[in-house]
Amino acid sequence: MEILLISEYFLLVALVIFLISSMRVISYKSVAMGLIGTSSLTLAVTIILVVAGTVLGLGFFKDIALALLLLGVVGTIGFAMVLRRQD
Amino acid sequence: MLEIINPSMVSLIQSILIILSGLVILIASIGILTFDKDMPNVVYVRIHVLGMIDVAGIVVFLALGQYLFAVLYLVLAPFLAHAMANAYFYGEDDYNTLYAADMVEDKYAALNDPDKLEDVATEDVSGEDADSAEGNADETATENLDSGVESND
Repeated sequence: MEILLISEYFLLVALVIFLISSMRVISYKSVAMGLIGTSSLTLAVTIILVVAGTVLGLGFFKDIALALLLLGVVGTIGFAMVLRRQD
Repeated sequence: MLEIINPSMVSLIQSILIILSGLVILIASIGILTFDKDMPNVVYVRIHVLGMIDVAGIVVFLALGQYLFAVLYLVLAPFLAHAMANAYFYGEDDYNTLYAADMVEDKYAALNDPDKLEDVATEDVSGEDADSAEGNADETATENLDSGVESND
């Protein structure tokens, strides 16, 4: 088995743990913590899609990951602006 | 020169980068949960930890040859972190906002408004004679302003 494939599987395991950690952060009471958790969840899913697309050789995973990365950032900044104006 | 870099070596470098990034992500994801939730400014600490994971993600994108992802996220990540911290500071951060910014603003506003100045002076010398408080209103307000700014540092 190639070392690159092993490292990619190791990264996938680390990302799944990070995904669970992000979900725990989302569940805190504060709205800002939900924002942080959602942002990190988006990043984790994006990296998982890119790595899985590389491992499985599926090109459209990267297209979905690119859309998710852009929309996740735009959504987080938009929600942060709303939260800031609320005060 | 390029003959030295063979495909197996590139693959090895890619693997090392990916494993290092995986380790960083593992450590950060365990660390982000171990902070005490009642700790002051814990939200900013978590945003900082998230910044470390952002960098690990960029390294992964570079190692996998996804340069568009890497450049895009390298540009967008600081805006993201700033937006979240800014939203928290002006939205929910009572610890810093109430005890620092608002108090200092009130004290400065009181210096320009005689009615507010009297109120501030009366509040601050509670327990003392009101007449003496009115007489020393300017000095008391100035002293409290200084002490308020110092205590919030």
